[in-house]
Amino acid sequence: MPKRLAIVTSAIALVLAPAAFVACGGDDSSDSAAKPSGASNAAQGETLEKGVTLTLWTMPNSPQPKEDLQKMVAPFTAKTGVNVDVQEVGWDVQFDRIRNAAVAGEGPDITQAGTTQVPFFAALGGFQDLTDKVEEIGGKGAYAEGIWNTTQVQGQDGTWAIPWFTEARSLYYRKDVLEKAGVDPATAFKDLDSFKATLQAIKDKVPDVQPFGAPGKKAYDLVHQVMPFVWDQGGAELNADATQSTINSPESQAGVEFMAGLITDGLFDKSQLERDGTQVENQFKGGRLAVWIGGPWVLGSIDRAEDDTWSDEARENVGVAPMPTGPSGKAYTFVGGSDLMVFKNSEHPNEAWALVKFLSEDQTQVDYAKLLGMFPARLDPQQQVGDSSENHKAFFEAIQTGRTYAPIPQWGQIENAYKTRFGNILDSAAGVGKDYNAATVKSQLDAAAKEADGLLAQSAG
Amino acid sequence: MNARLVNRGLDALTWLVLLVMLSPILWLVAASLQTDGQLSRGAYNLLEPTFTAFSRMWQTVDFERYLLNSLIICTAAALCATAFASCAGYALARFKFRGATGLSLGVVGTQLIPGSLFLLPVFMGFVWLKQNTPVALFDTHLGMILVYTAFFTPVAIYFMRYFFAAIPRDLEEAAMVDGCTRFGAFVKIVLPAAAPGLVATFVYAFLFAWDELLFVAALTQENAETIPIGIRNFIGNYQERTAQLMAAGVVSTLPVLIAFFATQRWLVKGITAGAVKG
Repeated sequence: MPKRLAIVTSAIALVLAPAAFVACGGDDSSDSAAKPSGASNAAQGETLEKGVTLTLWTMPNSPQPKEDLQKMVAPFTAKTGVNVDVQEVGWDVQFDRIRNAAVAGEGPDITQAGTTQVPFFAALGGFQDLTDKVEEIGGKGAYAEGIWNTTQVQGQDGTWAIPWFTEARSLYYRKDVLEKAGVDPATAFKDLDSFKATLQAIKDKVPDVQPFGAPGKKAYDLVHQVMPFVWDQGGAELNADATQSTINSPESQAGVEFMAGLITDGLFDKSQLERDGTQVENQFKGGRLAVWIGGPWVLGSIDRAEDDTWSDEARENVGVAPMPTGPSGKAYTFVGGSDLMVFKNSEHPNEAWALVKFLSEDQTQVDYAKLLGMFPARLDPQQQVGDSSENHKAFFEAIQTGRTYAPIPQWGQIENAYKTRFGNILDSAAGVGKDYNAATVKSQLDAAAKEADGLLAQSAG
Repeated sequence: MNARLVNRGLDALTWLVLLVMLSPILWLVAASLQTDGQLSRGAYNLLEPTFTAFSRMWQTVDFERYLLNSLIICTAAALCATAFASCAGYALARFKFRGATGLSLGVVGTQLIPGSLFLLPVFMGFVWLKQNTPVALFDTHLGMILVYTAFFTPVAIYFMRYFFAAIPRDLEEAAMVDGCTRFGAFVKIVLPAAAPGLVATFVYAFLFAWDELLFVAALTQENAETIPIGIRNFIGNYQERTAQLMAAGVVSTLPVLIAFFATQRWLVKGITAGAVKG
């Protein structure tokens, strides 16, 4: 009897402990999981099947991400009878989730993806090529060039995403501070010299506010903050065919040194380097910073009374200017945002495309962009939002000339490598870590280039 | 006199250490009672706390869903792990049977492999099961309960074995002399005597599952997401709701605190204190 009990109890434990692992199936699971479920065959018919439910993944874009988007797609459901289940995926986990879904074939029908992530996801092979369909929504001509490029993979045919909403970076400044400093806003940020002179004037004449600030290596978008200055100087992140890093070229180095120089000249509040992008934004909104590089969503928050991060004087004195012109004669800025991608494994490809089309309609674009404080992705509705105020106009212009990174699958990892090195350089300019000098900058950029070249040499994905 | 001074000094040191340990929690609570504006400017006003963050957090993020999922998954997994471990732990503590040493070593051996190595096979297995069989484990409560139970059962067996080994055999033997079966003695005599061990094991398993992120991030998509996933949605690329994040932190700490204080007397009770009296 005791022996029997012993066997039974230990058997339970033995079976249970590894149960989850034993149950995972054999080695062939990856093959079967990666197989498309024959959905592409169903893509022939044009009529939409009523009553089906599409799943759409979205990230926390607006104040109430899920409800806001669910409301936005309600007219689509009313018109077509196709239901949409909006699911919210946090930014922290979205990369892993989308990658897993693309590889395993177990995911939603459509997902939002950051513009610089699209090439990586496309290379996984889990998404539909939309080339044959894009003409239905106006094709390439309906979008600004920089935005359209985010749907492509360099060196490959195919359109893997449809731009959804757009952002670009411009200079935010405080009108009252510029007035106190005796600087004319019309010429204050014309080129890099006047930009620096303006910051100097603020430093000299308005001591109770810091002239300028930008986030450090904690910010997901540090590279977006630094690269415009690199482009200004004629530098680039990669060479033209995206086979080699050029971040350690003399031009790129000059761009990085311009930004770091603001710190050594005392024009850049170095305490901001400890913050991430939103925290620095809140410093501007709270009245601690006079000038800051930001996206259009901040404009949308000015009128929102419940946003109490604004101090009164900052809220009433917001000005926006395009990024300064560099020695090359052009004013560069980063343009990004989010695209929509359709999964190859979607069981309802026709309905999924119909939803993408609906989200690309001009009115839907304007309404959703307004809710987010972003810009629509398409040119016509973009123009409409751009015409709504002087500040919006500055962003509209920035988007038209905006630049993004080479659309290659390895970009995400390369951006991370650059981010770490840029962060180190800005830190050393602020007196943390190695002494700041040209040799330090060069060695950091060399290390970044070496890491990037290593990643470029690896196969995509 | 000297000894008194030393004692006082040690007391002071204890309080200091306690304060340092508690300060992040105090800061969490204080920050949850401020507005985002106050937090971003560093202008805390502790005298006029506001509960806005606590009311708004439920609208910003579907937090009750995450909270409920966490409660269901963690409670069920901790219960299963404790139940299975008490059976296995008892067997290992009381009986000599063929393979007992191997089983003990096997149980400890599972702990030598980093858990994250199991992630990919478990993920692919769950997805394969979903696509090829009616077994629904991917993105379900059952799947997560199974994973957490499997994870914690080996450690729990180890725990429980030593709790049972410390209980005098005389207790069960006395019960069996009085007519109890072996199983009856296990349920009526041994388990109550091992209650502190059961509670400790349950609480440990519950806390482990409550904080786990890696597996739940990969193995769920919508239906079975827990708090560690949901709490991150307060931070977006374009906005951060720090006060609400802190409020959510307070709310998700509460069940753990309640669980701890409710079971505290069991946790500190001696294993067999007073058991053989009378």
